[in-house]
Amino acid sequence: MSTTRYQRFGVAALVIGLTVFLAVPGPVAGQVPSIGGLTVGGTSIATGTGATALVASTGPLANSWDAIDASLDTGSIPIGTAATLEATAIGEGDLVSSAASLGDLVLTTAVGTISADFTMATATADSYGGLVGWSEIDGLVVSGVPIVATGEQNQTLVIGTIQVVLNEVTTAANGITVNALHVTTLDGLVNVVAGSATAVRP
Amino acid sequence: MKNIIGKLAISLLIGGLVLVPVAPAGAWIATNDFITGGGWYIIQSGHTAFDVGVTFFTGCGIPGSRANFGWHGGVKNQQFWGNGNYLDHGCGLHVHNTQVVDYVCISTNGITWTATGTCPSSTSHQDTGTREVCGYASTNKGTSVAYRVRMNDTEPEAAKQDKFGIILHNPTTFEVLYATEGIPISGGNIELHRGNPSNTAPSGGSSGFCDTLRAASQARGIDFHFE
Repeated sequence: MSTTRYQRFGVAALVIGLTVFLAVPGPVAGQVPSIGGLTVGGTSIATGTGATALVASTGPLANSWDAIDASLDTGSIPIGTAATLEATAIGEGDLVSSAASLGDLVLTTAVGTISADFTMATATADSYGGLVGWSEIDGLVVSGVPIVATGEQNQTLVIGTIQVVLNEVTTAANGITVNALHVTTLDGLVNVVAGSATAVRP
Repeated sequence: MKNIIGKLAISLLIGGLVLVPVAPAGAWIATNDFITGGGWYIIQSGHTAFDVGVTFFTGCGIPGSRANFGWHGGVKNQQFWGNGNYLDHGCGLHVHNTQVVDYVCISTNGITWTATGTCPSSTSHQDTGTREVCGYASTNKGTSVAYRVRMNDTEPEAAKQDKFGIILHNPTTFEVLYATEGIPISGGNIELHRGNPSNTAPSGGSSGFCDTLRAASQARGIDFHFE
């Protein structure tokens, strides 16, 4: 995916996004892409329509030898809650890896309820060109319909007027972002990412 | 019959004594790397202190309950580093790290401290191994605790064989209050990260806190079943 499309997603998130969880290393200055109009890794907690809420964000790595974390018992946004939120970003010199996980996600929208026992996104980027990412989503139920994650990238389902994208992977020249679960409603009022990990090549 | 039982008892005693020298004396050692992870598991009989009558947190640790966790640890710039959360859905027990005071190596790439008395730091992203993160935590049940968390990274990740365990203690007397383990965890992932230049342990190495908690739990007949 091109950088342009990568940033377009960011703009959409800025306008209507409630990004639940973000773990992001950005070890090299000038290589940090943006999501939601914020520097990736920037920690911002805000609520309300038109705001981007990052809950349990690591912030950016200071350099490729850094290690940063965020951890919460519970986290909430106006339309939902989650528990055991965990985000880490670890620099190993020529490799950076990030992971974000949470349990007990419950989102209540006007058009249905979304719940998941566990979601996790991981992303790894190395200086030799490797970009790897994957997700895990367990116990996902959308409006009463159980959904099994296949592990395929960008597994997309529409249940009523709710769209869910599982293992949403976005790659750019210098990095990779993995969203474990991306929920939107077709009326555009809901835009939530649960478990997001970004790794930028050192 | 009495003689047979007596001989059996002596044999068992000798067996126990034979085993003792295999495990080196002394404290676990700190290691210069990180371990991170999140996941969940169903508490199983045989892997919870509830089985042996530890019921300090009422209704907690009951087999069949689901546990979620997110935990990580390491050493960074001469300090112990980490954080973590744990939730037992059976009773609603939340545990939240407040301070990491020890990080030790249990095994790396099959080299176990128990068998060899050594435990190398991770030097490759593909390394496997087990670490312990120990410290203090708050709970939502009106008491603070000391904790010993053990985490294992088994490759390949797709095999889903990573392991996690947690033992909670009274922070003053070190009495065991709670313990469960998921071997393996039902979902999630644990990753052992190789060290980087920020991975420098405190000058004294391990604080010995994990050893203290281990001794207390073993005295109660409780310990993890993986290393």
